[in-house]
Amino acid sequence: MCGICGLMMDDVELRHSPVGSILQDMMESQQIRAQDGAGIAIFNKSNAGDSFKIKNFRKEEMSDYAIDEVKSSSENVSENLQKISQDPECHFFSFENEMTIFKETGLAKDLDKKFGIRKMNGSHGIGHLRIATSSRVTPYNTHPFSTTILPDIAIVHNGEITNYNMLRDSLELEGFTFHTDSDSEVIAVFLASRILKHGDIERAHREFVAKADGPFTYIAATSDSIAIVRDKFGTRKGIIGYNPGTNGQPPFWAMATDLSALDVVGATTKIETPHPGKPRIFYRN
Amino acid sequence: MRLNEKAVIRKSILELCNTGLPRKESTDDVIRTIREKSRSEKEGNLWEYIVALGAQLSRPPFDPYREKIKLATKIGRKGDQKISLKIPILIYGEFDLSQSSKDALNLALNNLDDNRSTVGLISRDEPCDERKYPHFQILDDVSKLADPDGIVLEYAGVKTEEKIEKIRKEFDGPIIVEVDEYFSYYTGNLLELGVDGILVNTDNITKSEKYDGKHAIAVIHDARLAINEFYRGKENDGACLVVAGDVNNAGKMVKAAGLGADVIGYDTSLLIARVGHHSENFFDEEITAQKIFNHMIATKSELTGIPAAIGYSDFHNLSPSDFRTSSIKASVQGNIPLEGVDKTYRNIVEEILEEHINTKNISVNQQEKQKIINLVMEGEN
Repeated sequence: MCGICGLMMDDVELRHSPVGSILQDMMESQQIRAQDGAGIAIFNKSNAGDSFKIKNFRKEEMSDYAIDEVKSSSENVSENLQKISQDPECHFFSFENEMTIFKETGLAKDLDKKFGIRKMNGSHGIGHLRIATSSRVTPYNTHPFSTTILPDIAIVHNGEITNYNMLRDSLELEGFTFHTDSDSEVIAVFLASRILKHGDIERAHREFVAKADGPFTYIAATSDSIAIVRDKFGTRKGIIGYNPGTNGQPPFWAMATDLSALDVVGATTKIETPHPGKPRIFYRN
Repeated sequence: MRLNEKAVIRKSILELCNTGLPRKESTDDVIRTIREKSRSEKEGNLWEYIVALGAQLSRPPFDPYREKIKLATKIGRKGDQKISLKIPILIYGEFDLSQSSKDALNLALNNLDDNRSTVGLISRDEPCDERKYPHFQILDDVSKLADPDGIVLEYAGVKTEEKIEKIRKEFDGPIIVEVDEYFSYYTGNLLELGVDGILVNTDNITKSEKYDGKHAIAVIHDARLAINEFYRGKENDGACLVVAGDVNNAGKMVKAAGLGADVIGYDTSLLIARVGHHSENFFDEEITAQKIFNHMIATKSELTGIPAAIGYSDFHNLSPSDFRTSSIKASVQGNIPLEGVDKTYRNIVEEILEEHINTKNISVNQQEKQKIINLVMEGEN
């Protein structure tokens, strides 16, 4: 019973909006759903540049969750990604350009305390509260998941991808690398593989829904979009709302597992439920 | 929205459920009255509240007794030439059947198609004109090509590859090649030539010297591996694996699908025997056809049970990791996890080797590691 949330600021002039603070409120309001881990991905175009950050955990540093950051240029990024993928001492964490991911075992408020989430600005972001079901309570099994295939892709997921093994096998056969044992990672790898193939994010989501089995809702963010997607039977819930700019906040779209997350940030107009199997996508203006 | 306003909405929904009749007084009016009474100035949107209530409900997880499990599949790699099956079964037989048995089978397959339970047929006969189901013709002589929906060829070396090139010039439908025990050497060539499916008959192949002492699961596993090897680094465009032979009941069909079969070849003579043809005093085509129909419908139902229980909505999502075996041989031959440890024998060998290398601080490269693992695996096979 994980909790997921996401938001997309509505106004192009307000890119540096308090995304961190709003997401933090949404996560804390859903804390009752899960307590094993919390994570967040925030997109801020002003971070975008020619260099990339490849973050990873080193095994000996797992006790205090220190993260290695390898700064790479477009010339050596492939080489560095390959090195990290093949290093048995490394646990891949994220591949970032304008995106920043923070994740930690424990509660949402501890994540904020450690990384100062509330002070972070951006155009959009996603958050996750984890209750461990199929893999261990470790920071690298905590969401959001990123990939080494493309930078700036992050997903958070509630539910189960029951045909995970089959999807993972076929993606590995296509040559894509996995870094955790979590079924959620297959969403990120699949989306990245399809974006690489045809570049159409909506089509990528539709293809995933057609291939994936099991009860799930996920929120996926790329540098230009955020999407909430439910399985074709609608077995996991999800809700979308709009805050037109109340309580001094800039207008934004918000999406979450629980209604409480929308209530707490005033996103209570234009309420809708994503149709099962049909991705609901919001693009950055 | 206040609690008493929410109560009005809940009450009105319950009334509608109980009576099926619209309320005489609009819910908005009732709420407005409450607000006027309480002089509430708080704005509320009724529709959004109802949508929000609905959004907080989710359907329960998959239920084997309620969910529909998708069995349908398509044979063919070209978009417009694919053959659809509602049940992933091709009735497959090389044996000569009596004309009355063939007629009964034809009738049953047409009835199945009428009932949205299409299965296909593989036979040496020319396709029947009145068929509604897909027919794959086993073609020994290219000049005898009739008007089938698909073709099955038996692999006989380079000649078959030449035959495929020749057939492809005049036939666009799916071509399936029934392979021998050396399939791993030439499956890639066949797929390169545009073959749409590989058919392995586990009965025949396990009798060969190459597979002496091995189980049918080894054949299915290796055949899937051979197809996957062709697609290494790219997406499978629909080449399928048809498994025939030792798959004569729903349980074995599910196992075959888990190991990688896309379609099952169900033995024709076995099917006729199953429905009691030989126990009848006289042969009645309609009765036999009805029995074949019933048997296939029952099989269809049986095939859905296990995938549903595992949490799938599609039969074809089964994979080796869904099964457990207590036999090391089966784990090695089919890459199936062992009971209790939930790891394949290969995984265990890899872990032990890794630990040994680390403890003894030995320098071993990836290639050498694989060589050691393969040697251990061969010893158990």
